[in-house]
Amino acid sequence: MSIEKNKIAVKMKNITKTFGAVTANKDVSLEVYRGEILSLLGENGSGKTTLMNMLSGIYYPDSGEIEIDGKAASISSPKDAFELGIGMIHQHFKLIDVFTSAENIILGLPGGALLDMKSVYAGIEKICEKYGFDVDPKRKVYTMSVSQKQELEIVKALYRGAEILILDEPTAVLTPQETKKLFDVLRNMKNDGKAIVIITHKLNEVMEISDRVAILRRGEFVTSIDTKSANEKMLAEAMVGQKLELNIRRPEPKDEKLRLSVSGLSCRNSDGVPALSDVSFDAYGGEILGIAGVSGSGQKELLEAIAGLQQTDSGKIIFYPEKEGSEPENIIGMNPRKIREMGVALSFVPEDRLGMGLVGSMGMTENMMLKSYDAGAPVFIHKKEPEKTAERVKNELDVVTPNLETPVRRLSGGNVQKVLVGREISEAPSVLMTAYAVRGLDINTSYAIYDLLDRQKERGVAVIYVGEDLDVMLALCDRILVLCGGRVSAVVDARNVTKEEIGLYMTAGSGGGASAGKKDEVSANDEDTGKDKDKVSANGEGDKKSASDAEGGGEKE
Amino acid sequence: MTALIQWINSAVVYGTVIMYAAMGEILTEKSGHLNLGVPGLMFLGGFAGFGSAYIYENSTDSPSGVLLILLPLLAAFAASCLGGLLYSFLTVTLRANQNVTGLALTSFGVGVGTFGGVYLCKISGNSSYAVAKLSSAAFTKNLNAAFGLGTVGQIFLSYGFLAYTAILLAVLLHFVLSKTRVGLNLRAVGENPGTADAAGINVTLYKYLATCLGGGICGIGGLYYVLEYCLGGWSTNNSIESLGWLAVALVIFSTWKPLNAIWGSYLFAQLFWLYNYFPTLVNTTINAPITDILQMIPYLVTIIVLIVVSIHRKKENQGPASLGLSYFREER
Amino acid sequence: MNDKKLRSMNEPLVRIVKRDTVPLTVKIVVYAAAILLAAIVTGAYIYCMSDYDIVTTYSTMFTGVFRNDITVNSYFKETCLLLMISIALAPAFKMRFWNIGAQGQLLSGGLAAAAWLYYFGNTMPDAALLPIMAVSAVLIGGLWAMIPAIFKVKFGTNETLFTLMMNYIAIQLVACCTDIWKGIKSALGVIDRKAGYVGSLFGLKYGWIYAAALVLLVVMYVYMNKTKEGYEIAVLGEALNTARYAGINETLVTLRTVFISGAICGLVGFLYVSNLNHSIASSTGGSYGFTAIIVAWLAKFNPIFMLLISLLISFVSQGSSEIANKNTDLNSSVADITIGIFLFFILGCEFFLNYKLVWRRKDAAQGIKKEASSS
Repeated sequence: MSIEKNKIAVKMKNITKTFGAVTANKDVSLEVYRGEILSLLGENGSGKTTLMNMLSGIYYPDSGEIEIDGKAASISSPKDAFELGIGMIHQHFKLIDVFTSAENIILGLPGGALLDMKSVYAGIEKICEKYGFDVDPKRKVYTMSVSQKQELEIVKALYRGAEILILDEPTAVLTPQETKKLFDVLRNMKNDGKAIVIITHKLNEVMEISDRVAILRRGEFVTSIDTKSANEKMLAEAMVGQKLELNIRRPEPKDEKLRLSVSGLSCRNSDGVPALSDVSFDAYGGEILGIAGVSGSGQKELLEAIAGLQQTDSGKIIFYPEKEGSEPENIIGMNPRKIREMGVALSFVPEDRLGMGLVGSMGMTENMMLKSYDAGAPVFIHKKEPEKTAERVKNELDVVTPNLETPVRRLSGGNVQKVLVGREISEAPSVLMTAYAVRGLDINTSYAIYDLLDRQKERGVAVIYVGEDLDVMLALCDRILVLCGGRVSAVVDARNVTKEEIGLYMTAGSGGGASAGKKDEVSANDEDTGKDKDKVSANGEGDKKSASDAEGGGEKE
Repeated sequence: MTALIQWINSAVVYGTVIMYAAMGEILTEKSGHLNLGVPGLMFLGGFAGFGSAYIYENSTDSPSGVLLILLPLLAAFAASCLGGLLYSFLTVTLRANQNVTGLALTSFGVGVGTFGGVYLCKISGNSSYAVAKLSSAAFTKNLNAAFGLGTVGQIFLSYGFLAYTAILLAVLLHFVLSKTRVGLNLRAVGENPGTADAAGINVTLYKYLATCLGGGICGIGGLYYVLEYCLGGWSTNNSIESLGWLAVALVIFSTWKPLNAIWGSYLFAQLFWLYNYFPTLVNTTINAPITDILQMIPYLVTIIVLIVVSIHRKKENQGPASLGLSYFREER
Repeated sequence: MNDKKLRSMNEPLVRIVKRDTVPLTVKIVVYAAAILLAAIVTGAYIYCMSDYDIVTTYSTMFTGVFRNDITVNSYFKETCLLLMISIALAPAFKMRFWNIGAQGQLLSGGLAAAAWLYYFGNTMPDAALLPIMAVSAVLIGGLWAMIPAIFKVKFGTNETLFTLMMNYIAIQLVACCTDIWKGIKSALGVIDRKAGYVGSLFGLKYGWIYAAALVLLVVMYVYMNKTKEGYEIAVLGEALNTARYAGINETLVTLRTVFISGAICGLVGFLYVSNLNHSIASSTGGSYGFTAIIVAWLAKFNPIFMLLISLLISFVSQGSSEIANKNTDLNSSVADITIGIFLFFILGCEFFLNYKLVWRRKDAAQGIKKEASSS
């Protein structure tokens, strides 16, 4: 190694960043060297992306210092980051669809009034040749595949003179072949003396590509080790940490009855990428079935397919009604409302909380009506029942709201979530699916929700719980199904399994087969804008986006 | 043959009005702002241009030829620019709804134009009509006679200079949008202000500039309407408004490309005058009800274009992706 | 490097932050301030254009509106017409369907009514003719509006321009029919038939219009706030994904709502033909279409606010006309300008309800997010 390669490119010292009441990064110190590939490893929500966003100018640290090439730096905008030679490739590409590659690359750069595309093309060509990229400068972005867009983003950063490259889960959207190609160019860049950080939670990739691994857990720096002296097992342990003793009541399942039987289910996400392949499992009344997996492994598609919101390619979903004498039915292709009326409820807590399932400008009562407004005598809405439900949810879950008519967008994020989950439970379904039910909630509220789920289980409901926190899943669920890349990699007994085992199942086949879209399942911390975090704050800022959507107007919506 | 030439002549003049307005609106929409105030802006420009010409003509005994041209141009451009500024202040800075603000601007602009026009008519002594003869003569002066090319000259050379500058402007706008850095940045702002912002482009500045300049160009359309199409006469009722809407429609018809707007505006105009010249051309006369139906054609064509464009959703033919949406940086 | 200095350079003088809650008092103060400012600017404008000072201006406006029965009736009539069209547009807007084709829907409905009047006004009795006129006006108006809606749900065709173009189609259609009907006369004039005219109600010349506006006001309030269909509109307009999630049929609700919107415009067309004008012309109802759009938007689709804003706009309109009549320096178009001033101010003031300005603190605390700059 040359001297140049050992130079410290980035030094982060005691970085802390909080969003409202939530601490995303606490006292993190990290160094990145030139000529190395550093893996930033951590579970969902461990604060990896937030940390890197402070280098790319999206966030500004609350405290701590950043040095770039040995000089103190203040990075308060993406522009500052460019100028310091930092380029970050986000999960959501920042590209303009109708522009060509070259146009995207030079966007916003200073220069002469006239565009000299020839020299731009030449510059791009040079970069492509040097590192082995395959970017057609004249091609329009919307005709490109995801991996081509990613390459373009990297070339864009390099064209702007990036010496420090940060890639946020770059392989999440790639096929194995594309991943291999990406790794090749990363190695080329490394040999050229660039400092490269890849954010990931896939252990096999960490082992394959990186020189060094830094591990974050719950926003704190755990350790950093040379990849040579590490193995997957010890990384997994460091990543998930010691098992936490959680005091979650777990009643023994009794009188289990088959409620839902999924077999051979496959589907594609909205981008046409395979999201589920050949998923089969059974869910029983009186038990909680957990679904674990890194974000974007097909959780969202699976639940939506069952709820009738997601088109499927093949497979069966048989629902066994509670009522005596009713026949089991394949619910694929049924109208969502019909499925719901049969007793399958879904509460999916999306990143923006309000986007799916709630109407921001309406109060609790009116939101309770959302799925049942059509019931009762025709023409007029009937508010009596929903009001009672709202009152009950408010009391049981301690929803903090001035009154039942206050628009839910004015509530804080956690309270919005309670309204959403509370409504689904109040429908007394026979299959209850919840996803990320405690996302961003404080401990007490989380426990209130666990307790509600337990009570549903005791009532004989088949509960399907999609979660992020393995500790909770181990303590709450009876069985855990692990999804990996859209496939079922294991179904385990939650009472007799270790966290590490699940961690390995989650990452085992990663990179293989179906790669699911990440859009809606990225956990709070890991979402590149990290917007979620603002929403947890107590001051109730949590609904900026939806509020603006409401006012934005225009036919675009 | 005479009828055909007349038809073309009328269409070019009419089309030029629409072309200016469409050009202004293309520029505005490229920044992501759908300005439905085009008719109002044209009114403002038409009135200001006409007013300045009229007052100048009547206040001096020997008006200078240069001022007869420059004064109305500047006045028209400035007045509509101000209209655009009002619109951009409301929609960019105050983030008011674009459709609603645009419609309010249309009513307001039509009001200002009509109000001022009536005012001028009153000064002129004739209660419903005022003419800026000299200025109109300057604006309609053409080279047809000088060359003596007969029919060819009649078709191509019998218009005032603004008819030719419209084409130049379209070409220039095309060039700016596709070949310059400013154009690239502007398009980025209209497509995705968040990405443009992240790339260090001053989104607010671009939006303001595009909207104000676009407004000014619409105003030139209004000026041309008064000084060439109406031969310098300002009457208390005129039809700028419907031309303004045709221009807004033409933007979609041209798929936001200035070069398409050139032939598009002539086509629209040709269709508009169909009711008047076509019957003569084929030696028939048509009665009033049929004329009314024929006058629908430009609007029907617009609707058909709207539908066709929405069915064939080619990426290249869509408007700027963020058209109509306010941008607020914290939503990034 | 001097970190502190860097930061204060980056910290803008004023940042814009979204508001979460707007206390009622703030709302009232903001709107009142906007209207007051608009009134002052209007007064100043009139003062510049004429010799009226602001007091004379508003006292003239006031007498112009409330001088006698005739002016008051005219004021209420204008208010009711504007209100009815705003009510018609509100459900469509609430669903985020930009129906700016009120005029076309009004004309097509009116034309249907006028056609019955013209062809059957001498042969059918009122009892049969009037209901038929009304029903066909409502149906045609609704169907007219549905044409763009069908393309919107089927192909996603831009409804803003489509509805606008439909105005011109309707105008030409009316021109065509009146040309057929008027024979050799140059203007259609009052359609001279025995039946098909709606007279006064409760001794009021425009009684039917008042009654229709009041009934529509109440019905629309109930429809939007108390019925299942109104609920569907609210959900669909606010959150498309949530609506799908709840199993709301997007196509059905869109078509139905737009039909209702057009139908009410058609009804207004019927009132023009049977009560106000006893005729139809391509300019019928022309001045209300766009103003009503703004009224509906400013009122946030709340019928009560629509009433208040309509009262304000009509007051300014009629008051301005009065000033123009009294003062030879002005002319009737002054109303468009004064209304415009009021609308701009009310439109602009909404910013202060949705956002608040955060001024730079002298000693910028650590860790302030470097956000909004020049915007």
